[in-house]
Amino acid sequence: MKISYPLVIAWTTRNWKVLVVTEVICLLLATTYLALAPRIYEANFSVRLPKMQITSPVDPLRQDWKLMLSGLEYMRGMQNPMTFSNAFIQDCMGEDSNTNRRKFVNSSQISLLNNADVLNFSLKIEGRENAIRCASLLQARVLDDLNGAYDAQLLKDKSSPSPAIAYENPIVSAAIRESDGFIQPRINKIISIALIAGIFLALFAVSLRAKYRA
Amino acid sequence: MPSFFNQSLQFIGITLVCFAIHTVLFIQRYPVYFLPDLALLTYLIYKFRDLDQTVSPIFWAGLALLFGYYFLSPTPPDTSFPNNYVVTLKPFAYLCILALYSRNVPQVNLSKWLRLFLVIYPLVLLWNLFLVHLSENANLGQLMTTRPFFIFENNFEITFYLNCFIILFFIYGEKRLLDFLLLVITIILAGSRSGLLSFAVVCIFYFLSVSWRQKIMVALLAIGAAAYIGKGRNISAPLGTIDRVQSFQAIFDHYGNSFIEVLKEPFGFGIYQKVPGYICTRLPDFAEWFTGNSHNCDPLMLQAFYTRSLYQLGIYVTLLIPILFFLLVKKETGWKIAVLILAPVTCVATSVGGFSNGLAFWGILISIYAYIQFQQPQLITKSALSQ
Repeated sequence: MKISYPLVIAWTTRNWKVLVVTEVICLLLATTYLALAPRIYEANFSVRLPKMQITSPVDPLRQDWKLMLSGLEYMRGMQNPMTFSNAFIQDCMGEDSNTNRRKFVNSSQISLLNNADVLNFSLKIEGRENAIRCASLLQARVLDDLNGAYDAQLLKDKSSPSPAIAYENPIVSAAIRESDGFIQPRINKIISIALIAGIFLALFAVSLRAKYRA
Repeated sequence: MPSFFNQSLQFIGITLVCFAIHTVLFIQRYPVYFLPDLALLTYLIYKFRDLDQTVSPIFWAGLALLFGYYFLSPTPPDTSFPNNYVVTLKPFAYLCILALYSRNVPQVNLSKWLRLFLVIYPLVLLWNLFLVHLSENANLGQLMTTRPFFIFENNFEITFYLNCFIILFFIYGEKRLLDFLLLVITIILAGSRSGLLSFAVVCIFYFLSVSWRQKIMVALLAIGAAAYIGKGRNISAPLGTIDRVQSFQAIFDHYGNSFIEVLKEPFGFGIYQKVPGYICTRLPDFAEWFTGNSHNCDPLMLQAFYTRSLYQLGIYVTLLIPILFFLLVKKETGWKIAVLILAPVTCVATSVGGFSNGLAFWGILISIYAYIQFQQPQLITKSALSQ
């Protein structure tokens, strides 16, 4: 492909009208999309995993903190759409369908913080109230799970000859916090895409015109 | 005699100007990181009128990657600081520029300026050490561990300097031992480990292209430089204590230390994602060092270009970047010179910058221009030739 300054200037001078039209069309489409697209809001919260203090198996004089369950394993479990109850999906997404279950899992992002002992949940859901409601439901569900693991460990240790020295129950380390505004659609990106698409569309339109006029 | 006198006067004048620039930057610490890219932008605008070349299809690959990562990368939580993602996108922009401007050669005769830089740069490094001695009353032992610079971080400058040496020695064929001696002095003064790695690679090519007498001298000088930096930067220390190795290990840990898991993220985690919180906590100084806040876990904190790209762009694109650069440079210079031109930046990419550094990119661009000027001297204007 040959590109030169005279070629670029000649093309622009010859086809500026096509370029303006395609840019206007793309910007209009972008504006329509921005007006109609659902507003996605984000809600974040963090939960500390339950821990216990045990005597180090390597050095009996040392005491180590150990997680009662791995954050990574818990994260993986939460990525299964079938792990949520019917009532949970209904309350959060409006209707319990397989599509909504998949949508919910895809809209949530879980990551490990601190020394991998804190789970951070990030939910991206349509509507400001929905995001907060879903985050509250998810937080309650996570605390239920983690408290269950904590209670089970305590029960196990009651009958164990060498129980743990101390325990830390799961707590909400960062309360639910919503994004300042909607995070999707992103206006600057949509407008940039429209402007770039306008240029490519003009190139395509001009080459089509040249082909069929010839 | 008058010509020699004029040349010496010019040399002294330019050296003094460089000393003055460095002194101002040494005292005032102005932000300068944007200067190579600003100079590049100025050059692109200035030379747009001379744009006239066959553009490689790699241009479209670069453009697709640039737009793809910018528009399609998943966004991080609203509660976290935004990343400086422009740095991550720079290699793709550089690929596009290289494809569009590789034959848009300046009309200035580059050889004179490259020769000048080769001599002046070590002098500026010595001037920097002198200023450090004056300001901090540093003794010789402390000066040996100082990392002198001219305008930017010396890892970036060494890459450019190596490219200048490659142009003079391998492209212009000026096989002078003095130039190599200057390179050794610069590498020793700079104390850069990644610079030493690039130097070692250049030495191999140098070694293969000189006489036996020079080979012995080169080997001795290279071993001397390696020993000096090895002592100064404590290269014998355990591998795990090197900052870039630590950040790579941390990221590899995130993939469960499994290469298969690395392959499973074909496009990485995107340009907006932060380094996972638990990894960032493990390396708190790095985040603070690079972003000024230990909670802003911008992947820039990973330092090494390859580690950062592995996380943000994925292994395939990380490998693709040097390959695309190689194909573009090879198109202009042939594969042997292309390997030489890209050797410094490929090695320095184990450290900060690499393919996303403007000065390193200038090194590649000027190497191509110097090659084209050497092959077609008619491209240089008459006034530039007479200098």
